[in-house]
Amino acid sequence: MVEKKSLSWYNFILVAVIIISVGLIVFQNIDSITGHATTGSTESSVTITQYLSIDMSGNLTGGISFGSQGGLSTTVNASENHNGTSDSTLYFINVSSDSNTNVDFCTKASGDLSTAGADIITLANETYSNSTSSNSTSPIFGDKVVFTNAYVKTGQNITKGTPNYYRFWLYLPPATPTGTYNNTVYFEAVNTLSSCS
Amino acid sequence: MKKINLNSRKVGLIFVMLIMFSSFVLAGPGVKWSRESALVEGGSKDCMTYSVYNPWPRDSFFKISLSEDFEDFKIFNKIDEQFVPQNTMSVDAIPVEFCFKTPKICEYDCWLFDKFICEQNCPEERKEFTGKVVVNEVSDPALSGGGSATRMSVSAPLTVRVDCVPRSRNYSLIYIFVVLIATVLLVINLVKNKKNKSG
Repeated sequence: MVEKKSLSWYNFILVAVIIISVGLIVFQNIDSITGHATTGSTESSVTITQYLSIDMSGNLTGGISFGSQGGLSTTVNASENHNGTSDSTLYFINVSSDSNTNVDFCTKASGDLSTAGADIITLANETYSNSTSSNSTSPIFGDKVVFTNAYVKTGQNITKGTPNYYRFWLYLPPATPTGTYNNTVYFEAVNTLSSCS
Repeated sequence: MKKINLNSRKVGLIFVMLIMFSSFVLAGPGVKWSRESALVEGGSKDCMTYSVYNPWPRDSFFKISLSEDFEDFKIFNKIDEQFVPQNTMSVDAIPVEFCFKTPKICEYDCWLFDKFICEQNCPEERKEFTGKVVVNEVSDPALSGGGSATRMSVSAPLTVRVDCVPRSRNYSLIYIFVVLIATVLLVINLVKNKKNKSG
């Protein structure tokens, strides 16, 4: 009888241990069970909806060609720098009228112009200038800046429905080996409040 | 027979020109967004939706990616490339869901196998990642000959704040072990009890 009584007490303690342990498991994991974290897991900061779209001119989409050159130690124009009406440039990027923000353009180059044989024309020799209008002088040669590896702002606060015009030049250093030199130039549009990086 | 060959050649030529021409005149990308920041716990997954559109008179393919500022993030792109037909205006922009897993910024002090009975400490409570979501047009550079090929993209700013939530040591594994042992002992006792009763 005594043995039976102690056995039931033993069972009672075991059941109590099980219940307390299950309670502690629930208590320790209550956040993941209920989904209520002690701090918010997701929070969004909603501003007004913004949208923008750009498109390069056909000539710019086709790439910036400096043609076949014979002379060195000279700065050459890109092939479409003056091929538009009234000697304007055919390199431009349109900002769609279906945008609700003004646009800044950022540009960079992939690196030096290089040949398949690893001869290079350093990036410091490739330059560009931009303007919101174009004629025989604008974008202006005197305003030209050197391409860089990282994005920098070029055309700024370009309004929707208007183009940003570009001209490109390449200085051919003396003793440049013959070959076909290439790199890639990137244009990125951001809203005017944003940085390029 | 010769005429047929000539026609098939013409058709072939037109086809090749169409393919070449189409790669030259893919339209520029458009992006529409309404969220520029997110607050996410370290090591967790979050999704954002950006919409792409193409108001230009040519079809295009766009790809969404995060800038290098988010290189510690694991990216899950449900759609790698999104076809956007010509004249898709901003009101009809196509939503593209974009998911990422944030890096863990917490430190874990674990008692068992570096994985169990862990305490979560926060050397820094919050880490901020600022960069951009980039929508690129997908096409091959069209330049033939020397010079610079050109690529274009549009981007939207994005700031992701990754939080570390400190958590006390989780003893669940020990409690589970205790429950299992107690249950086994209880079952043994009950079986013994039943046998004694019937004996």
